[in-house]
Amino acid sequence: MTGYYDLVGVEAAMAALEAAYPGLCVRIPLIHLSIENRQTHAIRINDPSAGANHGVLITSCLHANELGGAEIVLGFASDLLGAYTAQTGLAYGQKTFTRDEVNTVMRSVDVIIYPVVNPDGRVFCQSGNPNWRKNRNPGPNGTVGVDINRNFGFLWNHMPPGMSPEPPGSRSYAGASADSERETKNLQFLVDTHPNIRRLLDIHSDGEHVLWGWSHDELQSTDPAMNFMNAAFNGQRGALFDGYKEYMPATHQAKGKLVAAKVADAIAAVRGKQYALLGDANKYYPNGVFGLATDYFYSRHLVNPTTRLIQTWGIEFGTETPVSSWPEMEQIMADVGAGICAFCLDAAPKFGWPHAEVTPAWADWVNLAAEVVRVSSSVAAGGSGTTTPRGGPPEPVPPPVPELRALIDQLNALVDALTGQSTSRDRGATSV
Amino acid sequence: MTSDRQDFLDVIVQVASAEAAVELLSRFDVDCGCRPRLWPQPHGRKAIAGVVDEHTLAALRDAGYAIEVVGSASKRWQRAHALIVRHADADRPAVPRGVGRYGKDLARES
Repeated sequence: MTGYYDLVGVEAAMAALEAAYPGLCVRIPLIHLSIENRQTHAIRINDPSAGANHGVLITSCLHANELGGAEIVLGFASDLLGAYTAQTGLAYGQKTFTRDEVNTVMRSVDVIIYPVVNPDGRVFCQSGNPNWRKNRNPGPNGTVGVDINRNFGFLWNHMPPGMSPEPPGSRSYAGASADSERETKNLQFLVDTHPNIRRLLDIHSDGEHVLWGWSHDELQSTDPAMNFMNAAFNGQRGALFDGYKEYMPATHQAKGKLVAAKVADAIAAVRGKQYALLGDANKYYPNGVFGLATDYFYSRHLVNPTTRLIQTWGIEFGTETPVSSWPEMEQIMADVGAGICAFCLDAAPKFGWPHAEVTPAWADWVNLAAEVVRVSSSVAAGGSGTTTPRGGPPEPVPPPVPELRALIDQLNALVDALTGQSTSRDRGATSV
Repeated sequence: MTSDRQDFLDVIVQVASAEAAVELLSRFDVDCGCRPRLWPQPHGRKAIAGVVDEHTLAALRDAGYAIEVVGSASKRWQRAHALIVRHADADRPAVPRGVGRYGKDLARES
């Protein structure tokens, strides 16, 4: 390869993948043309013969000048499809995913990839404006462009205390109103038309970070009333080290950090790049930011408890924006490709955490039950060797207590009933 | 910031605290990329790294900020422009080629 895709190349690449892997890769046309009348597509990758799947959505290039996101996700799509078709494992540098793991992703996860959310911005960026970030929507007084990743309807156009909203024409202008942009609506369309999407990974540059949690303020899990919907705290959000911290259930925080750690571990295994885990608005230190896609999609189940939980993560790849040199970009493609593969693998019920349609209270109960099952299973396993809890170091197996078997079966049945799937027996792999 | 012919500069601006950084970002057009970040500096000081145009640079200096110009963003963008414009469409395969390895050498792994 010789360089970064232009938009025509991105679209052609998706069409070529669909043609090369019939049935395994299907293009999804997005419903809204851009303001400059460009059509975009996403692709859905899975083996449909395996039945209903959990969905993950991977997005990139909301910001036009973060070009390499498209190369990363299209490269990963090609690798995953190629390895599955060849029925082999998949390796990035020193990180290897086994054939079974590739099969697991393809057979139990819908991997939905939207490579270029912001098509007009990419064209403008590649036409002599390499640091262009926004879309190309005309604004007031001859200004142009909205920052799509500030336009989502989550605390839209809020600013930390003491700061004024970005005016039209500024680099992070949030738009005329929440969710006003066609690119924003396209992402919402994609999520709303794929009700199995439970996780979102949004790829940006730069910084070498894996992001989870809220982006507008610090996290807390003890005061549910201190939340973004409570008007009593208006005017306090976005400043760090003050009294306000945003509520996120402890289980969601644990899950967010665990999955982020798996992604970072996979990235590190490729060639040793250490992507830092950043879990709250300190990642935007010295102030939080508002209107992000990740926060919006996670917040929806809190605004409307009848909607499903979508937990969200982000990656900031590389160390330079707009672009790294192409040889370095190929290394970054390997790093982040491994991270994406680990992300998809964790979404598979066999490997990941529960995927129930959960309220926060249910999540607490499901995870408590899962933990009891894990520990109890290790007790019943025989009392020698080690058990490896998810995300933790190996632990000694306690002495055998065979009478726990009946309790384990009851708890397994309970977890299965709550999650709607038979996943609980796979948690807590025991090696002896 | 990229549409006129001004020079843009990569700068590091010293600030006394996070609050001072927030004030700086509120008053001046400093492009901090995707995420504003406050970096710790020696002697307990902190700094914001970003891109400013010549007018903003002068205004920051007038306001008393200590600024280190570390490079030319304009030249960096020129180099980027050379990278991001496709020159050889014919060289790129229709099916995107990832950088992962699969095939015979991994066939036995399961």
